[in-house]
Amino acid sequence: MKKKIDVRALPELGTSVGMQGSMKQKEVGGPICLGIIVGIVIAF
Amino acid sequence: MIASEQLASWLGDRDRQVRSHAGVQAFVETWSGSPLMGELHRDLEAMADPTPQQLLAAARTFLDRAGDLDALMQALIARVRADPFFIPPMHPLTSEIHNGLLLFHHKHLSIGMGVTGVDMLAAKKSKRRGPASIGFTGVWNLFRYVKSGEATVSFWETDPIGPDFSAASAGALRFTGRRRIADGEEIVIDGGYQSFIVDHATSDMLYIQAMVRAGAAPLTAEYDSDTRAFIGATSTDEASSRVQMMATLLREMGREDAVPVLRESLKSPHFYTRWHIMRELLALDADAVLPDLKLMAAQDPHAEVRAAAAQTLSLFFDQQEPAQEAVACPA
Repeated sequence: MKKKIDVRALPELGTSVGMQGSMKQKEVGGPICLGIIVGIVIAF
Repeated sequence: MIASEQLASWLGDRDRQVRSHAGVQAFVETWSGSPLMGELHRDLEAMADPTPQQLLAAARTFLDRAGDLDALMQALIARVRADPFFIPPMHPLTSEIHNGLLLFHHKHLSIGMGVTGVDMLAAKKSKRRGPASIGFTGVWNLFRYVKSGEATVSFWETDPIGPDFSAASAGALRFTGRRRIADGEEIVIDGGYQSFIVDHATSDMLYIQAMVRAGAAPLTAEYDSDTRAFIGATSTDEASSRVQMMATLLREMGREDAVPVLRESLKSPHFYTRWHIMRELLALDADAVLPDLKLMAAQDPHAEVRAAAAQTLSLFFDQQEPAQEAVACPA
């Protein structure tokens, strides 16, 4: 039987970093969202 | 849906739909085959490991060919005027205050053109209740304002966001200046420590934005505009975020056979990815990754990762002190 630790019981870092693209950019200049760029031409 | 007479007619006419589609396809060829796009693509492909400055220079060369870009935009406008059902074949870029299109995309550089709507800006400012946030994108951006909208922008800085970033040592937001920008002005921002905000504009702002991926900070950071304190961070690395999600999925699926592959991701340059992967590995097969955990507690470059690993050893392995092993840290 392998030892498994409940992930919820494990320590978390003091600095929480969300997944890429999970923060909605607000008033900062620049609407290019890293997470949504899929290329210049939309495939048909 | 209540379709207009024009739309109903188009929906009922297969030939017109085919012509609209063919028009889009023809424009794709015009756009992609243009010397402007082709030469930028070739320039970027020739760069093996470009610096942000090289990519900004390539973007400037592109932007300086305003006549070529204008001709392409005129061709696009002509297509739209000729056929109301022509859909520009570019990815839309929208936010609460911006509307734009992605003009060019490459793994090193993306270029978009957009409008910051003065009405949208005013609506956002007037709706505001409480503090706003000021974000640092972590990447280099070049903005060229074709029409400045007589905008006043404020500039902000923070401490450089590096691989050792932590919330505790993030420092505070610093205001560095405010000024009105002019038509044709260029603003270059290193999102690893610089940002700016549009405070006010009298008309729409038309801009071209070049976003550089090389030299990106490991994360974006967001600060409270009132207290100027750090309030949150997200990764700038799409690949590592996908790896994290995949690791969680594999753990949820109980895929112990994925442990060897996941251990490779402990070499991630990003401290948050290394600890995320370690947590998932401990939930899959704790004994298998005990050597990695000891190594992490002893040698990880990030203090919070070392502390979390040491705490885990203490809590779950009855080991108070991390082992000092004479092997290189995977990070």
